[in-house]
Amino acid sequence: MQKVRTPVLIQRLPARFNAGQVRAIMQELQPFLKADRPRVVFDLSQVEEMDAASVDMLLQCMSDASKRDGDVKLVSPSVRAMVILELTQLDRLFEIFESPEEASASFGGPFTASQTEDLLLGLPSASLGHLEAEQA
Amino acid sequence: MRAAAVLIVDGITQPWNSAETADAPSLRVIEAEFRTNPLSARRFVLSDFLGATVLQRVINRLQICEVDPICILGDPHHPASVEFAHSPVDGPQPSFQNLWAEAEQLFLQFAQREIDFVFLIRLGTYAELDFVDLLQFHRENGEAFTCVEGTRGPVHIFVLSLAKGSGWADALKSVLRREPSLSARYKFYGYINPLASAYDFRRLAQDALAGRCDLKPVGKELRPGIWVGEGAAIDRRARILAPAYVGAHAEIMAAALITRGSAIEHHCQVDCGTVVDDSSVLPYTYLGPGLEVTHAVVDGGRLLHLARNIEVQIADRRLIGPTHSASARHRTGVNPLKSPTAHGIRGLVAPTECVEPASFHKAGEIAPSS
Repeated sequence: MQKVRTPVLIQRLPARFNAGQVRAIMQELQPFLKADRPRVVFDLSQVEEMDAASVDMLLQCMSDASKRDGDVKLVSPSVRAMVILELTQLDRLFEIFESPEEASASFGGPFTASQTEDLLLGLPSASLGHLEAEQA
Repeated sequence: MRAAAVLIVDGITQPWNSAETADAPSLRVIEAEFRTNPLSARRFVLSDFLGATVLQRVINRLQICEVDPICILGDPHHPASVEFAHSPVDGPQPSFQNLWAEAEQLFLQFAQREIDFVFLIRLGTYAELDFVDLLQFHRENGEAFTCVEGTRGPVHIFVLSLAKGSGWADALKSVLRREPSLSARYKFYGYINPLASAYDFRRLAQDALAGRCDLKPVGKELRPGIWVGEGAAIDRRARILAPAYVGAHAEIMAAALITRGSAIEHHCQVDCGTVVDDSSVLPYTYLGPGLEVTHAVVDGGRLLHLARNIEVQIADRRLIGPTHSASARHRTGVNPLKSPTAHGIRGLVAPTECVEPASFHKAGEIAPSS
């Protein structure tokens, strides 16, 4: 039996991660989240501003991914982002890593540090249409 | 023997004189500035603190010592209001001329009214000073003025003699210029908090709730270490762990937890399931459901995280923000010195009619199942 594994999607979130940005990001993410076992890493290193919509988005992604046996992880949140994550107790819900490589490796997939550089970074500039399923 | 007091408080838009009005200080504090100024640059002497501002408490302390009149001077347009109050001796003093002119005018009035001594206090610093003892020390010493010195240096509290030939004008100028060279030093070893930052503000709250200073919360102590203000509404499923303070007309909803020396000031709302731990929540602040506020000072949409030393502004009322009544207060220009809690200024203990919540626990106790 052939098992299909999707790659890890690394999404760098914008500095102003608020309601204005959430819709565009979710539109781009939706196809990926509907795939089997979606694995998403959100890079919050640039995030300076978050609101309830961005908190909802992270929860929505976690919920969607969990329904399809996937997972969502967070990477190097800025101090401001960390304050919001703690305030909303999301820091207890998500696994938080220091680098995208660590986060990718935590999924237990076959990716190495060099390979993760080929993954999608900084959506929405990158297109999800380039995603290809990996044969495992 | 009569004594008057002049309080210098930056942020006051117009002076107040207790001799001219029997009412509570009808000062106009720049309200908008309160909410727009970062918490890290806030003048906490004008912020509500366990039901009353530090300014109100200092006035109360002076009134108990029968100091009358009490006058307040300030410069709301001071470009470095906070720094000015705590600047070094040779720091910038841009508003000296205005301050000097206003203070001199007051002192002349005092002299005409045969007042013998004047306390000059630059707030500031919160010090639990015995003004009667200070006055006694000053009289016995015979210098033109006496300055108070705490364990960590001067605390900007002075006593000046107004008798003829005492040279009070030179002394006043010297004090305002922060050059108090020819003065007696009154050593004070009691409780002092410089109130220079939000950290000091939190420490004062913890010290007050833990009984480490004389400062008493406005309200009723329903259980040891648990103070509740008039008209506060606490859901029976909420938990308040001592020491803690819930201000007048504050609303604590179901499953919320207030703990470890937290202070919820008047008219705040803490929504369901939110934990407030070692934090101060300033008046008219709403905390959304399911949050965890720890080691922080929160005012409206601003949260200063003391452990991380960072301030975030959250412009989303689903998380934190001003309550609806805060905007109404701003529109009507209600004076924080005439806040609902301020009428108890003399005793600083207001009567309470609030219903006692079912679940008060001492720290470490397990909450009973409701």
